[in-house]
Amino acid sequence: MLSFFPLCAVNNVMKMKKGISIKVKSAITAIFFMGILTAVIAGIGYKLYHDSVMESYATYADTVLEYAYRAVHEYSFGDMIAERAMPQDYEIMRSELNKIKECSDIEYLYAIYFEDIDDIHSLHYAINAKTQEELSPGKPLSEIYTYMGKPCEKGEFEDDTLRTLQQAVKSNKRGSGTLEGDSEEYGHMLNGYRVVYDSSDNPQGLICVEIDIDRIKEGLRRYIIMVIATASVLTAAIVTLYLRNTRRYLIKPLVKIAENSDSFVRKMQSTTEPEQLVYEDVPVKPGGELQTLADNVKSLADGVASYMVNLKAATAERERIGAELALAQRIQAHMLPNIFPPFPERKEFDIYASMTPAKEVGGDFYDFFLIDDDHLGLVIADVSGKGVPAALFMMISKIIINNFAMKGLSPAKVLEQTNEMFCRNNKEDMFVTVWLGVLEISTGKVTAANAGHEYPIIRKANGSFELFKDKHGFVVGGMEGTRYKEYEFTLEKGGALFLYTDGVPEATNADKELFGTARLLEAMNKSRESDAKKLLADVKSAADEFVGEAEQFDDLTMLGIMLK
Amino acid sequence: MKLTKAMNGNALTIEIEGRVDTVTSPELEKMINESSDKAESLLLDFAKVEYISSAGLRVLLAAHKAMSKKSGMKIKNAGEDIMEIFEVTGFTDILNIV
Repeated sequence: MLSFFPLCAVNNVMKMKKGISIKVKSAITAIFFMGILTAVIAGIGYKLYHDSVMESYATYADTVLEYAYRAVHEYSFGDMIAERAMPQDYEIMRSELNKIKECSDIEYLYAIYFEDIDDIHSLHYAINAKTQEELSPGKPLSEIYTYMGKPCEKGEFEDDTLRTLQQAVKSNKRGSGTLEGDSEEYGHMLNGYRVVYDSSDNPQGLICVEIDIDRIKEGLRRYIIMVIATASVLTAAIVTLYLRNTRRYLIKPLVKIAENSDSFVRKMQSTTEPEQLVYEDVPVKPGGELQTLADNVKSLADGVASYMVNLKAATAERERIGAELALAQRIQAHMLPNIFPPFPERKEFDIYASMTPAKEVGGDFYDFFLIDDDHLGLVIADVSGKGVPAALFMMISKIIINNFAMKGLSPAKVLEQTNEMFCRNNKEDMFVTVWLGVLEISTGKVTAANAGHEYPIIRKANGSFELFKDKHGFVVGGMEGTRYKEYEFTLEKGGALFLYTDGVPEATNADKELFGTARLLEAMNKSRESDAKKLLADVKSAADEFVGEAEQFDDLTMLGIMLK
Repeated sequence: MKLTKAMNGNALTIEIEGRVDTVTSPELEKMINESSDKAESLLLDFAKVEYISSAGLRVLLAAHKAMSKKSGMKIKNAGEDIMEIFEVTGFTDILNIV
């Protein structure tokens, strides 16, 4: 089964449903803002209404006060207060004031004076007007009326009010003033006052008018209720409308897109057949950004689906190539002598070889074969490049060299004839470096030719490994008519010959340093193994240790033979 | 690998920097193939080449063959390591190294 997507994607899909939905968020937001708007409107309305009503009450109080003041002025009320006297005119004046109170919409009309102007609590009444209704309960007038000199009781006036009145008298205030008072006994009152002067123009007391303004509270209350009720109804209507539109034009399409993408993702995670992955189209009204979103999500999903189809095909193709390469690798590996010891009956020598390709298949190869009882052919070669092209060329090289060598041709002739075969039809300019030697087992004499290959490494009996700088010819397959020179050397009993490809000295570490022949020789001499297999293993581990974490860049091929 | 190409008349010079191996040599091969039609001679400057693998040698061989029908290919400034590779592989025998 092919699994294209990591599991974490599943968790994201599950999480999608959590958290506050857009609908609830929109409703909360709308209600919140409508609430603020209502409060602001109600607040401003309250202030304007209150100020306007208060202003008209003040004007009204002022008018009534003006009438009352004219009346008391006519009867020289200032002089009466100054003398604390109630002459005949006092009662006539009272009936005038009573008439004024009768005809106006006020609560109180009265006059007061401070016995001691510096003591706000030394307040006394000078007169207090009453309406017919107030006079009618049947009580004697002496009980209903207030006469000159009646002390004001505590609690009838607030101290703030008293101080304002006192200040008006002290400062010889002309004209009328107003103040708002709030007493437990009389409630919320608007107080209009005017200082009364005697005939010598000395301030003696104040004439006051009081209007009950508690009644405007009722008006204000009604106003507020109305505003809140209207605002609530409007808010409800707007929120409903808004939500309906939001649901219709935003949430529904979004939910549809979310559902479709959700189901697509699920299908994607569960299916092994990407061809069946289809994203359903979401029609969105009336188009706009959400249509773009829906279209883009569809394009993305279609893109993912077609990508997955391609990926599946590519994966299948890669698996097929991988399988073929694995098979090719096995064929290649089996082409080389790979059973050790290869000649169990031959006790005169110990031979071992290995090939480690950098890719699945490589261009390196080694070979060894008995030409006759006394002659052992030894080959190490490296085809230019790596991978499949090199592997193809390697296979043919190995067979051709083996064929010519088995015919008993000398190494130089083998290489020359191989070169001619390659050059006849080599459009790609592929070539192979070859070291070919024939060992005469009985004498240890080696006849060899080198076609552009690495120097062999030789160890004399009881000596150390040394680079043997042999005569080099050009690579095989490079140039038509190339001639190769042959040379001979003798491998002593107890001596060894080590052949390798450039992958060994050119093994590269992370710092781009090459392993090099010096390190190679050092590793070999350190090893001192008398066993070819162990020697090769020591070289390999020394190279691996040097390379460290870096990637193996080239094929690594080695052949070692020791004479006993 | 970094390649710098200079065409002087019909003499092509390519300056190579870095490693010429399996991965990079196709790039060099492409550049030589594209320009070799117009070029009468080819000079490869190896001063900054760190390493050349057999895949790189193959490109040199192909270029050498292509240019041998004209005024030929020359290699200059090859360092010690590179010269060793040329010597071991026998390329010193066929290449015109100056």
